[in-house]
Amino acid sequence: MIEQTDTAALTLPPNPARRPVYEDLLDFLRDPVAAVAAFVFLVIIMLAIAAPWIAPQNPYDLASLNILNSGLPPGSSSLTGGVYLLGTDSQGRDLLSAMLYGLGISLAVPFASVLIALVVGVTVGLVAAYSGGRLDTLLMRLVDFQLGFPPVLLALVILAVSGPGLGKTTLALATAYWAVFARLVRGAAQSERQKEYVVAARCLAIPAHRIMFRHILPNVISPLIVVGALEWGACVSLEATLSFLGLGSPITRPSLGMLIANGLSYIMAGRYWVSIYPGILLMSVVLCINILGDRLRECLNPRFKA
Amino acid sequence: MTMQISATAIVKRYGSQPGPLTRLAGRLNFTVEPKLVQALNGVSIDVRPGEVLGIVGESGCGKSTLGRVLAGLESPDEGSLTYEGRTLAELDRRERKTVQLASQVIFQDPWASLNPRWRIRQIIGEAPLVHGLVERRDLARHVTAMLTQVGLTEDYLDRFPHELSGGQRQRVGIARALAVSPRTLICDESVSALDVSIQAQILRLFRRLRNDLGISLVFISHDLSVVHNLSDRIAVMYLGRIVEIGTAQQIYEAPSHPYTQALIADAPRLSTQRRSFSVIRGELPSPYAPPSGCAFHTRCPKAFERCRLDVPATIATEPGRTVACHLYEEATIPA
Amino acid sequence: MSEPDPILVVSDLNVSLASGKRMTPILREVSFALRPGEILGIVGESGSGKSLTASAIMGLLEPPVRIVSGAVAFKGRDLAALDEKAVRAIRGNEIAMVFQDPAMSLNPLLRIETQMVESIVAHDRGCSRHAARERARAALETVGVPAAAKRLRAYPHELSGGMRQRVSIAIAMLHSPAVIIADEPTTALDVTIQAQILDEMTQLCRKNGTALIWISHDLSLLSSFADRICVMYAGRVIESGPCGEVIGAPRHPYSRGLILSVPAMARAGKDIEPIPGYPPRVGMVPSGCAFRPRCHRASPACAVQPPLQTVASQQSAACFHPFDDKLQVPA
Repeated sequence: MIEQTDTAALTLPPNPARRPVYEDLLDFLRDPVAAVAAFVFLVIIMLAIAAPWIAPQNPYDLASLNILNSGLPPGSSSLTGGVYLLGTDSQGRDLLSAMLYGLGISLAVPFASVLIALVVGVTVGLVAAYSGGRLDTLLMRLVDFQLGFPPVLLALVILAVSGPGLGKTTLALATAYWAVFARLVRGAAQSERQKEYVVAARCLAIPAHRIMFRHILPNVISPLIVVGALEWGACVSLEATLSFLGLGSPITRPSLGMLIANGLSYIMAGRYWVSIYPGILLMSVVLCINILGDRLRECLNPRFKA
Repeated sequence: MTMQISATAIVKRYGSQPGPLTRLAGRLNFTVEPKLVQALNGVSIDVRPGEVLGIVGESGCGKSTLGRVLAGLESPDEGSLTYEGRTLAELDRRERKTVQLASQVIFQDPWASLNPRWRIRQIIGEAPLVHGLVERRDLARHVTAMLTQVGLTEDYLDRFPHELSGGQRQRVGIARALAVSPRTLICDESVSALDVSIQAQILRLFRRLRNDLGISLVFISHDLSVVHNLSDRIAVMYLGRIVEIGTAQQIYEAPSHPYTQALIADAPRLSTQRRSFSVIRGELPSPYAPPSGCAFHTRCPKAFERCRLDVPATIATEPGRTVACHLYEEATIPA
Repeated sequence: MSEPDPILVVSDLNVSLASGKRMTPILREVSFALRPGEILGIVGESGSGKSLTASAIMGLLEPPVRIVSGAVAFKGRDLAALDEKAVRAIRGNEIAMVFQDPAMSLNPLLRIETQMVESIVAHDRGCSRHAARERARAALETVGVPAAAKRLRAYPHELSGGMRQRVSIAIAMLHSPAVIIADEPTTALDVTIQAQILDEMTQLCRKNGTALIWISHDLSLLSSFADRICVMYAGRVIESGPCGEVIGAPRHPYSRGLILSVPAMARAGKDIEPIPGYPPRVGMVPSGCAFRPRCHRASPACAVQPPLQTVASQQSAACFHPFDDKLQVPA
């Protein structure tokens, strides 16, 4: 009798093989806008990484600059024989080279700060959701307080006090954004905590930190990835804003925002290129990240799927 | 006999007492939604070693809360709980963990009760590994043994929950609980979400586990026919109280409390002839504002004046049988 | 006694799920007839196609699911062949539906009164709003809603689950439909409330001569009030007949297994006799008789789909090896 039920249960229904990763990728690229954005973004990243090898000039090497080359329009020849494809700035720096180097900073600094903000926000959100009670209230009031300030203002204040610098900018941006992740994780984790698999883990006396990071976290990760990607875009803009105001990247290592600021005073003098080209590049970066983030949301959220 | 779990006069409340603003609003004649629910209102019950105790009742009667209290997932606001004769307060940390592991819950929803991101191997193997019950190198063997016990095979080890059907998931949930060698399984509507043919398989599995492993089962369900099939004893709950306890046969064939009678009469029963239903009228009262006296008096066909005023005491009418109803209180008063 | 003509005839209904160029059949050759005033119970496990049958009759199938062939004839007219406007006129008026979740038919933002009055006025343009309100109140009273005038002013969320379901039944019955299709209407409710609603609804249908299709997974529930029962498995009707016969002498091994799986069939303390294995998933239905892998009577002949054929006076089953003895069922 018992054997009968047991063999009955043996019949494991044949299951469709797990979808290979490249199918998910193809799915992601099915949207033509996203495909173009992905392509452009890939090129941008490769340019940023390859900057030291492909840039005609090292913009950080002050010795290679010549003031006589300043303010040359795109396509001009340099004194040493090279061609300034995108012209030069007021210090005689090759704009293309400055942009390639600046691009890396404009991408990496915000990326690092989003990562830091993620780690801090996720930990705070998980602890708040799991512990509940007073600790939850305390942490969430802190988050509310933080979210009450516009990120620009917060970062401005921090950098105004500490002075510019890449590391400081990274931390300032992270401080401005961690609360968003904390709030998001706490909400998602709270609904996850009610689910029976978490109750089962509690019943099995699994330690709290294990429940938080090994059970709950993997199940709230997909909204985090989407918001993380979109926040990266916002962070790139914010970093550019700060650098534009002279508070972000140091003068010796200009990011795109600072390049735009440098050229601003010459726009009226007809030297439009010093601001416009970094501006276009910055806009493309932010646009690509946002498009890709939105597409990621569509792909990860089953509700959007047909 | 030492009881597996013994609960005495358990009270469990949810929600909060009205704050000062709410009280003010109430005084100013605004309608204030009550927020405090008395989910358990003085519940006493024993789980005997190796028995199947059925708990039936409709939504909001507190049966799930009782299950969670017995499983140690919620601590009662009042009343005492003993595990094999000892209260939690007498135990040190390690003993507490052992007690916690001794009662495991089997849940209702086989879709929500397994971590969707984990393989079956991890789901079942986690707790024994974390608690050091099994060496890492023996884990695969242990997990396979658990799977075999619930009628699955090692082919399932590396599957994800979404690849399994409802019945198979429920079996995995049972294997996960068995992996820590519990003494009591608390089954909270564990077969309600399953199809009839699968439900029968799982009920059969529960019976076999009880017989083979000698563990106690607390079987909580709204479905009297399911509870009746499996249980040795049945407790009937209504709005946070136990109204009747008896053997399965007593409850099913000669119910004492009018509510139990209604529940049995209204339960769908397989028959070849048409029959009529509906012995009791009226809605379930809101648990936020339970009726005075006996909570069932608003729907009870046999209610009389006293039922509106006094809460009936729980009295033993036969050995092992208790009922909380004024009808029987009168009857036991010696002439 | 001559049988009245059926009011609703479903014949050879095939419904498929189209994904790309592949068509996955999910309903196959479903046929049954419903006579005026009759209560037909459709029973099956999840994935058997019982709810889908209801949607197909109501014209509520949404792509990629569509009717491939077959007909749903209401009063002699094929619903599948009618245009959208004509179908809409029939749906809700002459054929009404009650869902498991009353939220499907109640708008959470409108008072019960508004929803009912609008439905009445839309159907009967001559009716004044005052008269419509009176009719709404009367309709609620007939389905056992106490203090109906007060309940009319309520929003759906202010009512209990049982009350909400009563209101959606009252709405379904507003225009005295000829057929009501109820898809697990009491599954989410408590036993005592289920009993009340069941009682009121079946009485009303018998009184008004409304035909009722009651879809449920619960055979014991259906057995207590249905006139006829259709058992579905993997998208097919595998047995149908008068309730007493199907319950008392099931021919198909699946129907028999289903009845023996009902806990009340086993004496307390005795093991239930379950059907081994699991129902097939959609799209993975075995060839031939779909029940074959779980059936202990299966033979090589079952590799071909057995047709639904008459096995007793009014009972038919799709099986090459039907049972012919009675079951011991408590009356």
